[in-house]
Amino acid sequence: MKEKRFKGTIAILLVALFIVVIIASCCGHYHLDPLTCLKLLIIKPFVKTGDWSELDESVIYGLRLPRIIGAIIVGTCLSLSGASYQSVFQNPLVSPDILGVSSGACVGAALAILLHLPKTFIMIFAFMFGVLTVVLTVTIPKVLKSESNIMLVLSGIVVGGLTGSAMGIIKYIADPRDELPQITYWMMGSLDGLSYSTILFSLVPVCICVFVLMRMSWWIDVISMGEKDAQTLGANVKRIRLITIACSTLLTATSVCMAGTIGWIGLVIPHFARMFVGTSNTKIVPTAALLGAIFLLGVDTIARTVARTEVPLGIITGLIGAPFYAWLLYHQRTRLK
Amino acid sequence: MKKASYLIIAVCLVFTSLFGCSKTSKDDALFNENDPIIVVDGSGRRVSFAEPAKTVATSWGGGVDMYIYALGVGDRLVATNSKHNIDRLFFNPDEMPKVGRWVLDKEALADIQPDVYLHGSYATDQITGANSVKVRAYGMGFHSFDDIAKNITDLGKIFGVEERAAYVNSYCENILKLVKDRVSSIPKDQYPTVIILGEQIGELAADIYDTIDIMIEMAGGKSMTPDELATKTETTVVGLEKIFEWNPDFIFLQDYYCELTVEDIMSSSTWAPMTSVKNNHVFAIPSEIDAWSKGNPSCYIGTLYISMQMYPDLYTDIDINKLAVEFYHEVYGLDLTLEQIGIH
Amino acid sequence: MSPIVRLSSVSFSYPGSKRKILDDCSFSIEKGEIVSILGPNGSGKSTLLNCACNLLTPQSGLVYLNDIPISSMTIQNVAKVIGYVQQYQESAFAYSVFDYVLMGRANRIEMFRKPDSNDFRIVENVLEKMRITHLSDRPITEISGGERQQAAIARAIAQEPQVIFFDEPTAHLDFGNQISTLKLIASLKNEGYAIVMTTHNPDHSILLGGKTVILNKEGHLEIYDASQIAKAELLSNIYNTDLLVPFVKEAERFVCIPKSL
Repeated sequence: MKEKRFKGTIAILLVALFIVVIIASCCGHYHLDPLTCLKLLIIKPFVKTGDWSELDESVIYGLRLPRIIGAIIVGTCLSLSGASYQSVFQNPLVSPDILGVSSGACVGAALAILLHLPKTFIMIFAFMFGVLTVVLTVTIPKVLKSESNIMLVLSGIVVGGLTGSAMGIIKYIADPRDELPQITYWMMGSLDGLSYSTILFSLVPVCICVFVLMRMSWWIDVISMGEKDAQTLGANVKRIRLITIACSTLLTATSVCMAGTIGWIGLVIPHFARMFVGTSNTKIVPTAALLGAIFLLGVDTIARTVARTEVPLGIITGLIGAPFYAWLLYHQRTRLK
Repeated sequence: MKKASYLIIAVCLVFTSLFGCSKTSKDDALFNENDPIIVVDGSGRRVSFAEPAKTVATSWGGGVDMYIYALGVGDRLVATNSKHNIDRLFFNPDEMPKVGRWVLDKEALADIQPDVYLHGSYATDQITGANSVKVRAYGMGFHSFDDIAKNITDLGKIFGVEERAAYVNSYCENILKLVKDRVSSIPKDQYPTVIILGEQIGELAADIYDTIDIMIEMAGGKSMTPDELATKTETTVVGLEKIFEWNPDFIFLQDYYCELTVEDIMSSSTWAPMTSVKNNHVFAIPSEIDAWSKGNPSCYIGTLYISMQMYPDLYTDIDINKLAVEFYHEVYGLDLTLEQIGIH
Repeated sequence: MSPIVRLSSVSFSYPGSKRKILDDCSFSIEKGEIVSILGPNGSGKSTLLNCACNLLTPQSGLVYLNDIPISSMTIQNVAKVIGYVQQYQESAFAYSVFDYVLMGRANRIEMFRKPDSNDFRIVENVLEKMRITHLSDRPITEISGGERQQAAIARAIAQEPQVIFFDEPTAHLDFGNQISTLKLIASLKNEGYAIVMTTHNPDHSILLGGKTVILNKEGHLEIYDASQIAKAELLSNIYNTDLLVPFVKEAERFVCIPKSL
């Protein structure tokens, strides 16, 4: 794809993101007319008071803005992680949970909910268990002295089974009146109540990983050629794969602990990005990031406005993502093996 | 001719099955009209006992046990899965046999064969499950003060402690009367708006296990929970924005499991402009020993507590600390300290 | 002049298997040399190539690139010496032919960097030389098998290696394309690349000239030069079939063909 066209695509996506941010900040159960919203967003940073109430300010800056920022971060994390995993495993049908980071994080969070730990611990447990699960998945092939991708995938299936059973036990023990609904709700994904401190903490791993993945994007292309080819071309497959898996895992773990498990983004958005800018990761990384951010921001806005209660994000991404994915596969059926 | 006969047979089958269905769900499987003790449970089933029940089991830990302690028959409890702080005063949860955790373990129940099995009346699976292993089951309603009073009365009959039951009911009724009297001077359209927050952020404590709305109304408040949400069993997460939109005058936190604490809310710059925060009207309902908003006898003191936070001027002569201690003594036969109850 | 690739007493068997695919094999590849590797199915021709470029590690023996043990070399440095055109070119993703060939520059690019304008220029030149510039923007998954192989060869050339390995390059091509590929390989040799090619057609060995390595099922190899290879008995032994190697005047060379059926 020509460089100019690519830059044009990115520019359009940035504008689209900006527009969705504006729309998102004007929507919500708290009734605030769009003009006041815009004034609050644009003018407030410069003046102390205006024709808005303190409560209006609180809602925009304390409730909506963190969710908007959170949605952008989580959308970016999940789509980048999905794109990278797909390249590492040379399979466009792979989702970020292939090594078990999401299911492991669920176990961690469920455990924390069961033990009635405060919210910070739920996030810490989710993150830790997510990362530990991937470490387990990656260690099994090492112990069996195998370096192939297939062993990694099989190991992911085994570990996925383990985490599934662990979840089953936890759900069985949980009190169906309060603990179980909390676990279920967390698993389906929500950005409600996201605090600025959580966002700040998550920015550190997110920025590092996104930066690394962007710099490594060409090499990720090379290893998507297959282990044999990549090595004879001069790529240190083991090292690149490790770095890519580590970054993708950290990104997914961060987004899971911020917002619970949200499916379909990591699977569908990279495909969408490929439709726009071709297959090279150098172009997909920024494109998928923007597309993921726009998509999740749209989904979160729908989730918190369309029904009387908050709709979990995973439900909406599934409702939109699954048929969309079917359409994508149909559209690309000649290109995929 | 053939088609018509098929139609007739089909219609007959449908009728008999409907008729049959309603017949089996009407009464307890072991119901006997000649038994001396007959009660009608929360879903209209008739349950009968030849003699007062000597043993009782439940897999509905946390809701049912309180009634058993209130009636003074805690020693007849042979199986339960509850392990809240108040339960620990009566038995060791680790050694207590269980007949399932909310979902009934029929084999365990058959093994223990208590005289009666208690559960929420909406849970028909559990009730019919108990019947299937020849155990009498009584379904309890939890959604109004009438439900609670009826539970106490019926259980009094079942356990042969009608006097005790009457005493507990009258004591609790007096508390309710106290609240009604004090609040009667406030016209209904001046009731402040109230919400009670549940465990998750943005969640309301309003579901089929709770008596929240009734309590708030009785206490002289206007509950913000939309009616459609108040009787659902699922989580009612309306989202923080909705709560901000309602901007209620009073916010209560259901129990200490809530993700948001009073400190979180009072110290947050986002919550600061809320009316309830500005007027210091954010309270945690005491829940250290047992929950005061979950459809058991403790909701009476819970209602009084809520009312007293809303209208401190109406209750200047009442010392909630003293009353709470007295409540646990009178109703449950326990002598607790304020710390144990969770009042600060 | 040290040989570019030197195998010294290399033995290899797959883990868990007793059968020696390669047993005490030694041979070397000099600059500008063409080496064809013949052998029956399953004799380990591909394994020999894979050992020579460090894709597999021999159980015993050593492999040297320009006199340096391959085990002490970095992956990138090995790729600077050896380019490898596999038997099948598969890609899970629809990279453009240009991007595909660009990956050949990986042996010269640092870890956190991308190809620069110099790399782009080299790829353009290679595509032109291979006469596949018209395929530049086509997805690698949508072109024919023969075109894909040309792209793979272009990619190997973009590596600027000293020697190019070919694993059965004519196996899936039509007759005309087989000849074109052989012509291309011959011209690469003339440009100074050393070539190592496995093939199942002994006639190709004669056509290309150069050294021939015969690998048998016991894992032993024998080395013959161009003049020694055109012998009927020798070639028939490899495949256990009666083959004739007459001199054909019109072709101006010895030709290896089967007897009449």
